[in-house]
Amino acid sequence: MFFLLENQVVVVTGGGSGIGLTVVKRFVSAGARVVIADLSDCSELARDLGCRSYVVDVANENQVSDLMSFTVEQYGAIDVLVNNAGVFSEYKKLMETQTSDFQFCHDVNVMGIVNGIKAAVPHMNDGARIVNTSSMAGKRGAVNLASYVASKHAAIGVTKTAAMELGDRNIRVNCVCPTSVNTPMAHEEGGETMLRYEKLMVPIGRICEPEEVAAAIHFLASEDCGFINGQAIELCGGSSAGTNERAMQKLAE
Amino acid sequence: MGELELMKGKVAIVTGAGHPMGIGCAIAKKLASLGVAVVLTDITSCEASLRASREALEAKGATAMDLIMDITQPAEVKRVVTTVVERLGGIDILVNNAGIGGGSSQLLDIKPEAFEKTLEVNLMGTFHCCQAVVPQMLKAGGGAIVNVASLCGLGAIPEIPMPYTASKFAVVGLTKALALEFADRNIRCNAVCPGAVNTFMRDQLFERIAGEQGITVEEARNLEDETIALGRGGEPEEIAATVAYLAGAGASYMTGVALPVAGGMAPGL
Repeated sequence: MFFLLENQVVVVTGGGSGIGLTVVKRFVSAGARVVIADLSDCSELARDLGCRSYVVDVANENQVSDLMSFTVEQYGAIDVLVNNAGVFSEYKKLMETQTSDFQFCHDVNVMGIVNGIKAAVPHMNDGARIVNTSSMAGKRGAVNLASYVASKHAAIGVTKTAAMELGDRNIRVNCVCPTSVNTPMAHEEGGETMLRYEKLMVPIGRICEPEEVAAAIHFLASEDCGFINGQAIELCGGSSAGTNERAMQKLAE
Repeated sequence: MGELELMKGKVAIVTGAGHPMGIGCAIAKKLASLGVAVVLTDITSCEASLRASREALEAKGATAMDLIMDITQPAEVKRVVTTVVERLGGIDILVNNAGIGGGSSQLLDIKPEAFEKTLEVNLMGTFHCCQAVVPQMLKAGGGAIVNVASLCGLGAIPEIPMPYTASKFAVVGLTKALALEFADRNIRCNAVCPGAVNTFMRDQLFERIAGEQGITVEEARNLEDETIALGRGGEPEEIAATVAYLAGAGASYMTGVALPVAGGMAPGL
């Protein structure tokens, strides 16, 4: 069988919108039992999809711990944790950033993952999977996004270290690293230049669709890819390989 | 899932599919199980096992062909591609899996001819197949190439032959260059970088190390397993699953990527 998640219990943080919601819908159709964990109340959405929902701030260790207890109460186990909740920083130059900008991104994008792993692993059976949402901003710099970039780099570091430490329980930990994804977050004010730049520079010629991120998360969450561990999967439309001719011509114009 | 249904009716060539317990054969089986028509190729010495693998796939209801193809011979590669297109209508997926080990890991022991042979198969063979197949993909409006590189294509690993490492770095480079050239023509090209995978090639490695270091084959295996976060080598089927993912529509935003499938092992970590 390929990609089936029949009866698997999955927690998706940030599951109420964007990439997370796409993941939730996909997992439901693959047969999983899903808990939508989100900062906002998703009970109506959960009812429609036949899931459970839980209101949580992933930066809050106690709340995340309660989320995992809730999941085990509801479904008896945790097979897959998708640490997807994330925040974006305001666009500003590094020289203009405050400590609080870095703290804001760090609390959710890094500690959200750490809190999720620490709270879920004691409830997981050997062979469980953890998938985190990082970003191509975790692999390279991005102008005016220093605090976001730093947090996404840290998310990859946490992923790799968790993979090394949890390997003896056969719990695999990986993350996905998309470029800009076609969600409300990418279209936030101030990001127009960034979006134009990415459309220009990505060899495939467009930004990433949430379904494409969800497919990668789904693959990493499945038992089929049992030997991928500690990886940061680049969903980059070719941009990590370099610049293609079309982009260079457009730049020259 | 949706994109896997899209695999039905596609045509794939898998090179180096001759060894029944190897990665190539596992890839062919995985793709066939998703409804892909599979062409298994390898060199003449694998003729019998190729045929047996093809028959086994057909017995399960798959469309399959077996063809002898020495990937170091560009004219032969072109002939095989022509045959496949005539018989199956096109080529949607190319899996460049064929490769050889590369001899010695010690600089002073390496014979230049052995180095050249490794490059001829692992690098030039991959190149010849891409050059022969890409025109067919362009005609069809797109396709997916998956190169089976190695974790050694991302960093050197002790005891692994230097020519092998050099050839796999080159395959990763070819992968990225090809990805860029065809990104806006709907041909994606990615590499999987297997770490330690339980195949005859890994057995050969341990036999050599055991001989050199005066330890048992089992001890040599344990030593390497300890360097892997999951504490074990991978299975060919696990590499095959990743190849199927990269070849499928779910990976439609992935190109030019070299993806370690190594259980958590340096240099992939």
